[in-house]
Amino acid sequence: MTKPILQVHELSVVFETFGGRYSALNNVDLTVNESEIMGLVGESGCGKSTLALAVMALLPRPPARIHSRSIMFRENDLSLYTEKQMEQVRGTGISMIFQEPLTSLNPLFTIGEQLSETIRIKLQRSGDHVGRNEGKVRAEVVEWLKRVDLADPESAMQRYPHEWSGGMRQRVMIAMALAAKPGLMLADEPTSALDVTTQAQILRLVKSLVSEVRASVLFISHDLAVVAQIADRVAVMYAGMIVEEASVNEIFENPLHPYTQALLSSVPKENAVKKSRLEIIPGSVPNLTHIPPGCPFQPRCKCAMEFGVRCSTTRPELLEISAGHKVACNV
Amino acid sequence: MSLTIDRKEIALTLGVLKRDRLSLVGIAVAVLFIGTAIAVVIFGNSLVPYNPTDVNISDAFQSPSFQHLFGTDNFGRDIFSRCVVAAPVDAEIGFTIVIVSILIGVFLGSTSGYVGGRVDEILMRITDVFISVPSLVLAIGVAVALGPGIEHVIEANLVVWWPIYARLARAGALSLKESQFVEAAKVAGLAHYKIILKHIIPNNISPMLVYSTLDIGNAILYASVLSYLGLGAQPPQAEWGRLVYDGQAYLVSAWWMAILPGLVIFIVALGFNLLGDGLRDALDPRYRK
Amino acid sequence: MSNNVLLRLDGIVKYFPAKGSMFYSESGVLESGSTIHAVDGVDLDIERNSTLGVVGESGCGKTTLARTILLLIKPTSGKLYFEGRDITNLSYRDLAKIRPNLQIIFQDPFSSLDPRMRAKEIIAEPLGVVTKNRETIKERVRELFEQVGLGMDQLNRFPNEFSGGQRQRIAIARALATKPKLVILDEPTSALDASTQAQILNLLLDIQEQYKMSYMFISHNVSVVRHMSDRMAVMYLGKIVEEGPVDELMLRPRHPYTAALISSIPKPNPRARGEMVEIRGETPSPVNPPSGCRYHPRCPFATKLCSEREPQLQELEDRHSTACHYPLKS
Repeated sequence: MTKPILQVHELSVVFETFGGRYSALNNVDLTVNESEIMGLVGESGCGKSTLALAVMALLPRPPARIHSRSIMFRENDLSLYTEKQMEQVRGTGISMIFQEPLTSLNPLFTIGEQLSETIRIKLQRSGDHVGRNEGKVRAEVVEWLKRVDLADPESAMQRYPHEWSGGMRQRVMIAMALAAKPGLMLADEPTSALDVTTQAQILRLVKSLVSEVRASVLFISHDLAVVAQIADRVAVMYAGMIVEEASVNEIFENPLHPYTQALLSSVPKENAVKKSRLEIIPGSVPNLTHIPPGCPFQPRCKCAMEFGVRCSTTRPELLEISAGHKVACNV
Repeated sequence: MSLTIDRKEIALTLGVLKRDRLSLVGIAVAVLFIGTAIAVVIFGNSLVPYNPTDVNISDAFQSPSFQHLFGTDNFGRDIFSRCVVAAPVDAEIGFTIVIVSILIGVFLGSTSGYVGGRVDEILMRITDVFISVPSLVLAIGVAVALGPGIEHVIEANLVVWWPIYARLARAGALSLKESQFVEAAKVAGLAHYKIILKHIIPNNISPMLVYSTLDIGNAILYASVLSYLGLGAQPPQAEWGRLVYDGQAYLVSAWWMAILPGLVIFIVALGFNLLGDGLRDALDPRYRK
Repeated sequence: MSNNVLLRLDGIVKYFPAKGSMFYSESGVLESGSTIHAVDGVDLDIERNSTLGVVGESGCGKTTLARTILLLIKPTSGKLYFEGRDITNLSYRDLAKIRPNLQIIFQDPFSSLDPRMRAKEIIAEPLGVVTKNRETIKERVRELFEQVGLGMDQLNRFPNEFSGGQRQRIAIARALATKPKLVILDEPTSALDASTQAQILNLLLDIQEQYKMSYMFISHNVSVVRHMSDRMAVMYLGKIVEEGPVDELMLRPRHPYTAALISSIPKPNPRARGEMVEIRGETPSPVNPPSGCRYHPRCPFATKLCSEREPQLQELEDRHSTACHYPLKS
């Protein structure tokens, strides 16, 4: 029986801005198990990044308003944590990597220094006073740089972030995220800014490292194909709610929610007839300040137009249809 | 071809602006100033308690009182009335200087930035000359050369103000000419002059209109300085700087003649400065949350 | 030159001077150099009523190539022939006469439209170059608007009032206005969501069918290019390393880079988590391209010959060429 490492219960996030009040997340439930890679897929604006930031308590409090029943990390409820307590969790309990490493790496410090900092903190927190020993820290930094396939780690340590290409920076970020041996790593579109060949290398690296370190990953992406390659389970989001959740094979072979189905068929496939027309989802993503009542996908849903009487009035719940496969659909 | 301001932007800007008390003061001053100027143009002398040109020697040198809010001058004219009537004059001066120098500067700067090469070099050198000389001194010099009168005050200031806008416009043009919609226009085969007129200049102007609110106050200040030196408005025309000039001789005996109009200048200039500052902050993306 | 060739590139080279510029070498480290070899000898033909896909990753020079073809920048050397005519050194004015036939759609729908112009004005702009008749222009703008699927009530709106997908439609309408024979598409859907991308791609296909125009479809997304193109050319560091019919290339790539590229495309099929063809290190920068075959430092099959002599494009099968000393076996 797999044990959950992260359990989010009824998380809602609302942003109050001058432009209006918009709800980014609407009563979201999500579970990530130990040693599992959970893929979180959705188009831009669906709230996937917001979810990760909310878990890490990195959303600026005004204008964001966060409500949740609980956010359980291992045995602790993060929603009750103060900022100081969250600081203890970040890095060693839950770490995060982002799409553009340039903005998360400090340009004034060499990567060796930044990685050392992470390792030092980890050693401190695990009560290892030998962490005062710079030699040990340095050795571990070199070790990690080797593990992320950075050639010549000794000289690599001396370089600054801007001296590295995108792929290399991402490797450093991954090293920093995993060096503290967190239980969970949140990855927000980590490969979206990379070339496809570099992306393939990074995905392979993440997979192998993560199983070595025995961490779980919440892998956020807008790219279904990437998620197909790396995830064990997948959750699909639309307009602030999770519409389907299942094992990766189930999602791709037996998608139940109309949005998931539409998403899968709108991507050009290898064996499809060349220059054939792709199936499209009419309309566009709703404006989050005016979410219609009922199912948010309803205005664009083929099923709703035929069968869905309740679709415009009742918001569907995420229900388990078959083992491990949950769908939020009225039809 | 129009200036794009969408409703959300305005709401956002006003929202931030409202929170800033100083800029509210600025807005109040600016509104009062412009309102007064317009009112005087429409209603003329009937707006003020006393005819500003009425000479009444027996009433000369009255200190400020309920009857004469700002007191009277050496000719017995009511200073408050003269100040109010001077509002449209100063408004005209201030706005004319800023608007015309923006027009000249944006046109020259945009063309120069877009075309580049020799033309750009030449403009840069010319503006360098103007910018390196202290502008007030230059304005005074030009005004002296041109002779007294309000038109000359305006002209002298135009000479000094346009280079700054030209440089700003040039910088804007440099980045705009790399933008994709300009490339699209080139691919469409548009003649260069059309690109400048339709794409570069309109996109350059709007950021500048904001900064120019700051400048209106400064323009009035500069013009007042010139008038204060006797170079601007000639009697009996009322203009704030001129009023200060007139009151100079009587600074000790009838301080209100010079000080009060001077205070008016100061408040108006300060008001526009606060407004401009507030606007600039309000438009700064970092403040908008 | 055959009458079927719409656009021919003959040895196009574009270098940029880069004083003290910094670049990333193939070990991913920053170094400095002096000339950016953005495009280094490209020969290509684009035929009538067909789509040529150009794929490559960052630094391969495809965007520079696009801008050079449109003569937004002048090639350092090489010639450009449009419908048989040498257009390489035409003046801006003379070029304006050809422009109606050669248009572009950019990647970023947010910056390719002038934020201060209304939608109808944006689309009317290229028409104004060709005709002065206001009525004709007005009619055509309406026609185009409808064709790209935008509502008439939106003619007067400004770009910031439209979504990304809608802006791209405006950009498409603008590109089509003069009924061009060739449209260069530079990553037209890369900035869009998956569902919007599908809509736009369908629209592009519909239009191509209707007007019988040619496309040069540039993208880093191989699946999309494959879907849209008849032929495909793969670029690496300013050179074309392989070119041929798109299905041929996908099934039987002959150049190791093409093979690595294709195998690293993630497939939306969790059961197909195959091994990728090995590729080492990072893409080097065009400031200091490797000697000999530019790909040799990263190629698992490289030999000494590869580091010394640069391979030329050779036709292996029918219209399928590759630039490699040891092309892969089928």
